[in-house]
This record gives sequence, C-alpha cells and structure tokens, in this order.
Amino acid sequence: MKWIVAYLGIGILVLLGFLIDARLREPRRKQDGWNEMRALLLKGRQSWASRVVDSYLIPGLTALLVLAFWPAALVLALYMNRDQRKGSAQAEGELPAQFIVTREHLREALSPERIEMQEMVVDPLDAAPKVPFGFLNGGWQRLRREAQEGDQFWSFDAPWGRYGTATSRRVGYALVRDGKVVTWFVGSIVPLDNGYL
Amino acid sequence: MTAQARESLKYQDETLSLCGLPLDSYFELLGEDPPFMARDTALWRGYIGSWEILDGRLYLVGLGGYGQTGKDIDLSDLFPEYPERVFAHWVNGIFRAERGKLLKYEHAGFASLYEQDLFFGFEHGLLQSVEVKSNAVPASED
Repeated sequence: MKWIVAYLGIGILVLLGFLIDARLREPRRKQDGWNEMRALLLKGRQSWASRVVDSYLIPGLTALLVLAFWPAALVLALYMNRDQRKGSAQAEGELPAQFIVTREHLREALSPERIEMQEMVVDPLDAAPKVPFGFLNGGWQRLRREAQEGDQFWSFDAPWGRYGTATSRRVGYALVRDGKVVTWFVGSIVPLDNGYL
Repeated sequence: MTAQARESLKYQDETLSLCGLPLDSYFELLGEDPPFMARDTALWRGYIGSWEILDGRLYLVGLGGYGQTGKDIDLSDLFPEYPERVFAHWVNGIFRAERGKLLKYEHAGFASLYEQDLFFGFEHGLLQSVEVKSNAVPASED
C-alpha cells in the first residue's frame, strides 16, 4: 500500500511539473488544428458537450494517464526535449527544428543606411507605407534597436522547411557581434525550385 | 480534406480563381499566427482574399474572414491605414489560378482541374511572368 501511495505521490509531482512547464512554454492559448477540427465537428459553437469535453474530459483523462504511467511520460518528455535540442547535431542536409541563421548563411556586410535604401518600398498608388520593408518595417526597427557599437549588419540567405526538408529560402539581415550571429530579421520568403504556393 | 474555397484574382478585366494563399507568408514574416479561425471545412484558413494585378503589381483589395474572437475581420482591420488596397510587396513565388470549366472535381484542397491553369510569377509583389497551361483534352476526330 505504501508503495502505491509513494508511486501516486511522485505521479502528482510529475503532473504538476508538466503543468508548470506547459504554462511557461505557451502562456497564450492557440487555436491549433485539433481544436479547430473539434469546433467544426460541434458546428463551431461552444455547446454544452464541447465545454464538458474541453474543460473536464480531456484534461481529466490526461491527468489520470500521467498519474498512472508517469515513468513512461517522463521518458517521453525527456526524449522529445532532447530531440528539440538536437539543432547543432543535425545530420548533414537536415534542417534544424527551428529556423536559425548561422555564419554560413551570411552574404554581405552592409551599412543600415544602405539596407534601408535598397529595401525601401515605393508604390505608385501609395498602397504601402513608404518605409524600408513596407508593412514589415517593425521587424527591421526591432533589429536596429538591438545593435550595439561595433556590431555589423549582414545580409543572409538561408534554406528552410517545416519538416526538415528545405522548401523555401529565408532572406533578410542579421546582426553580427564579435563574429557571431546575434539575431536576425527575415524580410522575405522565396519558394525553392519554382514551387508554387 | 474538403475542396477549399479559392481566393479571387482580377487580371486584365478577368476574375480568376486563385489557388494559393499570398497572405499567409505575410503572417509568417511577421512571426504571428493569423487571427482567423475556421468555421467551415471548405475554408480551413478562415478567410477569403480578393487580389488584383494592376500595372504589374499585386494588390490585396478585399478580405473577409472569421476572427478568433468571434468578430468578422476585413481589410481595414488588418491594414487600418490602407482600407481600400494593399500593395503585397511581401509576395514571392509562383501562384496558380484557374480559368474555364471544371474538368475534374477533387475533394481535396485546390486539386480540382479546370480547363486552364495560369501561373503568375511574383518577386516582391511585382509580376515577373505569366504562363498559361491548357488542361483540356482535345476531342478526337471520328
């Protein structure tokens, strides 16, 4: 009996750990594919059944499973976490799990003034703000604010794809400090191999 | 997946069905989730955009969408200072549009086949190329 209590006690701690970790990772609830599909199945309205499923059934079942099988849940969580951190150890040709600009993607060092001049958006119908990068100017301004004395701006061109295989190029500008890429701003996405969108 | 509703594209006084989502890359570049939600299995993206090619430039000229807050979203909600038209300078790549009669219905995405496909190539919202491909099978002579 004591062993069961101890097992469930550890299970409760593991469950609390998962809840805290989930809260830290995604504080804002997103409308993901599963929620969208369920909303459609229930005619897109928050019916009574939908509220019961959403608020009680799914969380309750999940909690019970973690309590009962917390060692497996821990192993799975550790495995998935290790997989996400695999970025620098990716097999050659594979893309990292998250987009990242490295030194090999850098193309040319440019002054911010030169960048702004060549990225100015001009439209004869005035249907876009006449500023560098147009509607994406905010991202460029954030990059500029990060710059410190001695930093360099470099253009970059990096392949990217959501599932490990490159389907497009991400082109933009990176901030380089002491030879290292600090941060970047993606100004455009260009599909590869004339793939149409 | 159910066949998806197309965007509309006006080109040289003709309105075509656009089988692509030029607005999606805008949100990807902003690093934001689109503010739309699906309310229909034929419209998973939650919005329909109207586009126009004018003087070799791609413009977003209309938008109707369902917001995640339950409120409808139109062009002026996304681009408050440009409620009538938006120059889509973020668009790169080739987009396919359909023209003519339906030849073969496919219950999946944009896979249905029409008499002609038009491929529009854009670079920073500027039209670079237009190619027309005929899908109709010529009638055999008896």
